[in-house]
Amino acid sequence: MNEPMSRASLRPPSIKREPIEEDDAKLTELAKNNGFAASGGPSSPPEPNRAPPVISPQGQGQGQGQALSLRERRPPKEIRSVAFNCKMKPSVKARLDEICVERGISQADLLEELVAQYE
Amino acid sequence: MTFIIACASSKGGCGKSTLAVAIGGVYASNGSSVLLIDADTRRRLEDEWYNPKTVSSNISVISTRSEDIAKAVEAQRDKYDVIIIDVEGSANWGLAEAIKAADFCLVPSNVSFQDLRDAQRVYDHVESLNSESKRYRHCWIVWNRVPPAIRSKEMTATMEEAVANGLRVIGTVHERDAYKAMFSYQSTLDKLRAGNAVPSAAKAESEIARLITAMHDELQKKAA
Ligand SMILES: Nc1ncnc2c1ncn2[C@@H]1O[C@H](COP(=O)(O)OP(=O)(O)O)[C@@H](O)[C@H]1O
Ligand SMILES: [Mg+2]
Repeated sequence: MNEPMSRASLRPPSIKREPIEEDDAKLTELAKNNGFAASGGPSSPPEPNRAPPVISPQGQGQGQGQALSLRERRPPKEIRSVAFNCKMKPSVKARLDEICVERGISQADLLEELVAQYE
Repeated sequence: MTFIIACASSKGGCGKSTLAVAIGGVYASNGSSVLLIDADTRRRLEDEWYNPKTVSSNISVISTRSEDIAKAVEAQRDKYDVIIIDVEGSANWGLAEAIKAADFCLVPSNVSFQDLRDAQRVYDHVESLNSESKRYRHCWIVWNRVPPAIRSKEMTATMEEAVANGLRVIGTVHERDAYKAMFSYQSTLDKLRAGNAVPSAAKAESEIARLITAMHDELQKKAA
């Protein structure tokens, strides 16, 4: 499927770095003027990356990415599929399923997004 | 000579650490030696992600205080093919120091005006630095957490408007489980892809590879 690109293009380029005399005081002053002097607060708000597997009863895939057991990440099958009232190529069905698994959402969620988009 | 990248944004949670680990992983799995410099006081890279048992031996991680970034880069330079600096999410010294040390600043931004404002601020700072400094630093925005399936109208509009307003966007990283899984499994995308362990890992790896190639292209264009 989507093979990563050739190795050669992923080797970092060689950066020439002659020692240059930087006016450090000037660059520091610039950073200050641009508002980069305040001392920092914490970074990202704590998102529970390593919480135990969460399988919500509605199968809405709330636990996306947090499950440590890969199998359990899939919403249960009966909630995952929506009985689309039309004939659909198996490849399209498979792709839909793939999108849902990838995003940890059910097909019902996907449909809702689709409707919202065209409303 | 070492290629130095800074994941630079004053916005917390925009994806700096995610991007740092993803890019470092793709470089490492393609044979480069990588140093991740974690300048976030919470030391997530070193304490939570890095595990010598599960992470490639091509990758090393060190933590530094913001004020020591320049020193750390100076001491480690030329021992690695790539150095990636990850900072904490605020407009502090760490960010300014990381930008100063870098060849290439990557600014992850979610598709929202709030995130874009922060991204623009970093971008403007790098521009003004470039006008004063003898060394040119690249600065590009990376859209992060873009839904892979359907984009809302607002999102599409925001993306188009940003580009129309001259914001320089180098690539798109989608919302994918694989990026979270790197931290859950203390791993990199190449390993998560193996055996299809995490379904979205192959796609994530491809888009990060594209991002890396785009960076190299920009470096080449500027050098020419
Ligand atoms: N492309 C992505 N897909 C899925 N989750 C993401 C993505 N980028 C970031 N995240 C999640 O968003 C949260 C914040 O990201 P992080 O990289 O820690 O931000 P920062 O380092 O800028 O504070 C984390 O929980 C991370 O897993
Ligand atoms: Mg971080």
